[in-house]
Amino acid sequence: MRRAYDRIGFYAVVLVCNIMTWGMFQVLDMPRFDSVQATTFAVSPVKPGAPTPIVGKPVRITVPDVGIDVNVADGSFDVDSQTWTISDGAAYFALASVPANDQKGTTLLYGHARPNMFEPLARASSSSIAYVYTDTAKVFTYRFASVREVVPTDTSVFTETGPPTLVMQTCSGPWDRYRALYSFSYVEVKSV
Amino acid sequence: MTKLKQLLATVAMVVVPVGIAMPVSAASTCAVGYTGPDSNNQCVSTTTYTCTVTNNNTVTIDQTNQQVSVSGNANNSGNTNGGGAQTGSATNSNNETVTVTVSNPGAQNETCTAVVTVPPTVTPEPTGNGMGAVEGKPTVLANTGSMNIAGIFAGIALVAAAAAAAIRGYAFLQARK
Repeated sequence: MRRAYDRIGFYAVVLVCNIMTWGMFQVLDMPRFDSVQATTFAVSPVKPGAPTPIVGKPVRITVPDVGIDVNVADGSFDVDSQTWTISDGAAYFALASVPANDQKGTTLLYGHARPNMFEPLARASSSSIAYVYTDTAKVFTYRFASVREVVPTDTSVFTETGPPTLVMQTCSGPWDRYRALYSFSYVEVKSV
Repeated sequence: MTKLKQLLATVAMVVVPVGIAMPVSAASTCAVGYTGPDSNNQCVSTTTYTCTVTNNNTVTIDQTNQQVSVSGNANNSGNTNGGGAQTGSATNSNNETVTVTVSNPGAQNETCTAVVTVPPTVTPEPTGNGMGAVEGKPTVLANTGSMNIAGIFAGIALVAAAAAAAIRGYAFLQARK
């Protein structure tokens, strides 16, 4: 009889533990970023009538002060499976966004929220500088401006107009429920 | 001699209409020389009309059609009671026909005419780039999660095992009392 009670007690404890674990995630189910972390910087004005935009496809991204230095591969969206190219070995340039340029639009790079990838972005500050190396032997410099969390179906980043901007995307929130978008404002471009 | 006349007449009846019908007729003359007794004069007219026109025309149309669509500014000033002012959307499309005519003088005035019609292309929906990005329209952002499902379940199992051990320990202590 006592063994039966022990068994019932065991299952009860397991159940309670599971409920507590589930509850913990529910309690923590809130966006990590309540507000913009950094002030908005004066961005470089768009150069109207600039004769030849400087453009390049990202092949490497570095954010030295948070220790990010990863290669960038092409990331495409599969309409059928509704998924993006992704792996642990590289960050990705969303081909649906604009290449790095000195004119306009948002360049989107995405990568896993892992220590060797984009997770260190959580430590980005107003002094964080991102360098995007391109296949055209250029290096674009951006300064961290802001971060926001969106739901995965929010694809407005692809239709953003305005000055050239770099957005680095990774997952955030409980069960990776959100997408954290770290925006960097264009500063300058140089030849490598 | 009569036969000769008949022959000539026959030839004339056959050849003349053909010569008229030809766009370009050869200048065929038939000189009949001696027509004396027992003469055998034949006038055989052979007209070969060959019209060979070989055209090797290469027409290259290098067409650049740039279009810029810009919505204008809205100003509202100088009104006693100023209403709202707003700009409209700006779209454009192109439709162009290129006609190329190649004349080949000296080849029977043959004319080669090529007509190239470029169908209208509506300005694409603005995507904020204009930099040539080509990709299917994404409906979701990339799943960049790092969550380790196996690790989470392993942790839960570990907690459960620890709790079970605690219960058994507690029961054991109770039994010893």
